[in-house]
Amino acid sequence: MLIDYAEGMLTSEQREEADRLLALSPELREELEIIRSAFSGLQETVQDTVPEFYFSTFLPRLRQQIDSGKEFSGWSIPYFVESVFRPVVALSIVFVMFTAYQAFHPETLQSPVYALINDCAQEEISDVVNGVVAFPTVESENLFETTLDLESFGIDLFQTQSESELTALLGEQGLEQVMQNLENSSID
Amino acid sequence: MNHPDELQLIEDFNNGNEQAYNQLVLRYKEKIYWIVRRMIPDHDEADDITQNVFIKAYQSLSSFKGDSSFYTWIYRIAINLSLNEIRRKKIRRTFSIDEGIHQFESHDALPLELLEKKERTKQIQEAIERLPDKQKKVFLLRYYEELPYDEIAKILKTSVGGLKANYFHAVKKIGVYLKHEK
Repeated sequence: MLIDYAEGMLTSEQREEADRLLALSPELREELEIIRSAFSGLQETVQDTVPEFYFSTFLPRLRQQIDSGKEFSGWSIPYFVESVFRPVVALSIVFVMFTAYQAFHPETLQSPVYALINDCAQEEISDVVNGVVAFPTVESENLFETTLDLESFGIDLFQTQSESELTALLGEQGLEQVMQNLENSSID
Repeated sequence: MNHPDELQLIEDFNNGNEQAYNQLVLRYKEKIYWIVRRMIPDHDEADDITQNVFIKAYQSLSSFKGDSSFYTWIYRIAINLSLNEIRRKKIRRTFSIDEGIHQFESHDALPLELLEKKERTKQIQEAIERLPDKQKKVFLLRYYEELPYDEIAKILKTSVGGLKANYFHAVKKIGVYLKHEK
């Protein structure tokens, strides 16, 4: 309202009301004084000038830039690219971090079989699966049993481990044994 | 709203008619130059940015959907590019002390009255430059362009009430700055 008052934009009724409020409030009067000094200062400024023929030569110069196919700096990216650029970069960073984390902590995202594999050397696992030796730890035995008890735990082994990966880890014989155990739904 | 002929010009341009784009440039070059120049006082820099605004418009017109008027759309580009330049200049200024020296040197031969006015102009520019981005945009569009609040609201995609508050604070800050600089 003070701005409108200073610019003379109020109706006579509004102006009377503003006058009444101003008479009551020294703070309002001080604010009004500041606003008036701002407008006064703005009016004192030197009018900017442009070189002669600037506007008349603007379009030809612009056309020259466009037609020459000049390489423009970074801002020449189209709008739609700009709008998706930052989210894509952000998602890429998250993806790289996620992948790196996964590479260093594979057990957190892999099946229990993989966790078991991590607990033991590959050859030991093959031997374990083939019944040559006992499980190295109680924990690994529990994990193995858990993995195979699909109906109880709803675990789909092949969502997280491809057959070739399992073959590489367990050996063909080991995998066959696992499959057989899966069919029986029991390790025994 | 868009002028009907502007929508036609945009459609013609998108269909390959370069003359339609030229018409738009001729129509808005001065307005865009002055909105940029209020924010970037140096003519050469303002010229560069004004050209960039129209080049950006040239490259992006195919994505113009006509939700806002053409000049609302191109004003927004002008303001954003100008603010980007101001930010870049602020960073450059942090690393350079030469700029201020050159400004004072160029004033040597001016009459006293003009010198005072130029000094006042410089203070106003500094005061505007110190405003937060939102207040700066509102102030420039309202004071220099004399646009109605509802039009500014379309350009800046904000409410009229908020704009009025921003304008009030911007003017007040300029007043306070000038008072302290006197």
